Amino acid sequence: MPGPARASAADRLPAPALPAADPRLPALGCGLGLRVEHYRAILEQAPPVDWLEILSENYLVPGGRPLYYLEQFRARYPLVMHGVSLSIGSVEPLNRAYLGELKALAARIEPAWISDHLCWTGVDGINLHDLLPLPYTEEALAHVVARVGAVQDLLGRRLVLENVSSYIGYTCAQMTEWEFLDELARRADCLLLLDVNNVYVSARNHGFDPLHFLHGIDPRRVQQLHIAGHDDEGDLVIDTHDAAVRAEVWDLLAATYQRFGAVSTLIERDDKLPPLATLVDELDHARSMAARYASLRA
Amino acid sequence: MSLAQLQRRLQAHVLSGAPAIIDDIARGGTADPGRRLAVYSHAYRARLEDVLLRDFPGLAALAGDTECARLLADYIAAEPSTHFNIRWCGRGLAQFLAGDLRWSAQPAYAQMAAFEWALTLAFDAADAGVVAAGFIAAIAPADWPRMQFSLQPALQQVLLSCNVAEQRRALDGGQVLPLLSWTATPTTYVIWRRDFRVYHRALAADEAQALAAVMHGASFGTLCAQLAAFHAEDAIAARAVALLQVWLAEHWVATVALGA
Repeated sequence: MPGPARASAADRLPAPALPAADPRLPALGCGLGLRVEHYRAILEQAPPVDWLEILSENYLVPGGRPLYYLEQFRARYPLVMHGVSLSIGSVEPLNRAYLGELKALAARIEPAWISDHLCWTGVDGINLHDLLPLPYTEEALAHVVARVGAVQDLLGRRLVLENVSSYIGYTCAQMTEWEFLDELARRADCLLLLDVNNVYVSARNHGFDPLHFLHGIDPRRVQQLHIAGHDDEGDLVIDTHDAAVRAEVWDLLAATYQRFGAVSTLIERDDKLPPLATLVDELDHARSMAARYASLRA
Repeated sequence: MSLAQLQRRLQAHVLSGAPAIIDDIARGGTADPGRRLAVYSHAYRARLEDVLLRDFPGLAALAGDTECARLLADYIAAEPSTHFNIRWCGRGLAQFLAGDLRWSAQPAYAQMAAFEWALTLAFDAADAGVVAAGFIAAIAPADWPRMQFSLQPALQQVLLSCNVAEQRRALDGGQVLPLLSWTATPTTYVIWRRDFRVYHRALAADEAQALAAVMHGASFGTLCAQLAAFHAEDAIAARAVALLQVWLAEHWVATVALGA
């Protein structure tokens, strides 16, 4: 995470024109991350879920059950593709094979949008399969802006990038995470997936005020929100996705809605999956909160 | 320091504990840089181990929890993941276990890993059409030797010298694993997918050879020639037809065409 506050990124960087219109895509409501354990329940119960987010890599396979089920869900729900392998911040060249497969999957299921993370996952041909934080420097910003542009050209659409949970910051940081994200979205003309749990986790781990993060982001760039559970280990907070959304994240979600309006919101749960009904109840809670701020969405 | 240098330093720390990155980590807060970096080092191994245990449950049962943890740690240390999709991180495990000085002393481990990896490949192999069992009847008997087949992409053969397939079957059925046993002659197992379920069974020697020939593009006539090594001349045709009927019934055959 960045060190002491310095001149804002906007003071130092060129200022390309913002698109005249709101770049965001139409909001979808409240959705769930699609997990294998809930396939049957979703198909049989048709729960009140507005949309589903798939993990793109789970369906970058030649055939079989994953793609069969994906077609079933596609027929019933709007889908969004969420990836973990783009490695947009790596100094490694963009993985054209991955992007080709991603584009082919997008052509097949026509997702409302495609998202990944502002991170890097490895260099020199190795993949650490983790969402490693970038140093928030001018060099990294220029690097990522160029790569987002290349990816958007290839996919033929705006990319949606998510802030990650982080446990380390770098001494070389020149700006805050939110300054970096906001400037990236503006310069690359991409959209953002604001993970509210990740904002909370990183704020605790690095000692910043999460509201400063929220207020540093242009609302016109926020396409989607994530909420999830985490593990508070005392000295560090770990993003685990294996528990219910905690009260402090619900509170931050309320502040998020207050600033950004009723942005499309998704509950992420990857481990210790509860029955589908439990997640639907959590989603209803988010939906009722969002309803109070619905009029704020442009 | 450049972005490239920083990424290489952090990666080296995650992979092998190289300390150079520590001075690049911001200090402050409730945890020191070592504790913070340990989150990533631990997560890297835990994530890979989680996927490997999911793909190789038979290996875990065969080796036991402690030994399996050791061999997976050795594999992860020796062969960092290189594919963008973590789904492929186990692709080199069987070869590693067969070639590693320590683990090659337990040859059943490599065989179980090879068998279970084939099951994994079959699960999401490409889909293909199915030739109906009655389709062959429409082909004139004089043309049968020219029949050429393409088989389901999920179909694979694995050569095993011990009963790891039976052990995995027992595990899947919630039963106690049979004791490890070895055969004097290796047995070919075929693995396939039908209606999204993955199956496997042992093949007789003649069927294994005939199927291998067809997988490499042999015609029905060549298949019959392969069977000459196993059967009297007057029994070859009947055996070949019987094999083909079984393969059709199991949905192994994706297309049939008449070659030159």
